[in-house]
Amino acid sequence: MTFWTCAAGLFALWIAFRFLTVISLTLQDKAYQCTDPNDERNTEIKHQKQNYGAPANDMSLGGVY
Amino acid sequence: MVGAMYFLCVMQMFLNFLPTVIVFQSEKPVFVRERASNMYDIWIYATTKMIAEIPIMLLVPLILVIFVYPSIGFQDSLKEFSQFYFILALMVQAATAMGYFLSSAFNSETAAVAFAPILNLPLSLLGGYMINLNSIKGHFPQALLEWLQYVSPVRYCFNGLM
Repeated sequence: MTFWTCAAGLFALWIAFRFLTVISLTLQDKAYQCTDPNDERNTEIKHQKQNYGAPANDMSLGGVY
Repeated sequence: MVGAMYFLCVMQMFLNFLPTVIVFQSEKPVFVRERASNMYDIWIYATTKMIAEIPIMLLVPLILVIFVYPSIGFQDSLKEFSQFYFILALMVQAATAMGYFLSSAFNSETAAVAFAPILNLPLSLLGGYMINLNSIKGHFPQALLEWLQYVSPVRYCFNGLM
């Protein structure tokens, strides 16, 4: 075996086992149904500024009593 | 020197394979909870974990090679040194990936830890140093395990260092 054959073999094993890890976790996730299929929480997480209706330095209760 | 190369490969295999079997099991409760909340997809978790670990996985074998390479008296050549380090760094990545796979395949830490030597020892034995791989071809029952040499990181690492 040449040097680059060995390097390619190790690289292939690295990628293959990482891929198998994802498959294994996916199968377990489906088997145990950790996630409710109708659960839509956090599905639309977007990186945008939230508007809470009050400035950040407003220490009042903001209308919640 | 050949023995030193082989045992460097086996050491990298054991040092990086066995701890990762336990690491994922300890992270599993958090992962399951976050996964149940739809925080991220599984492939994102696996990919980010892999990317985050790459720097430390490159640094650890570099420190090892800096001390071990001149100590044993391998060739004084930058090219040989680089190839030596490159193969060991890939070996660390492959061994870690194998450990994560084993860890993810079992539900309990005890089962994963118990199965680790069963997978690890044949892969190390079929690395090409302990057993002449040509001598087991076609000999029953050794031939049943012959295919394991093709998934043995130790074999590729040992041949690469040679």
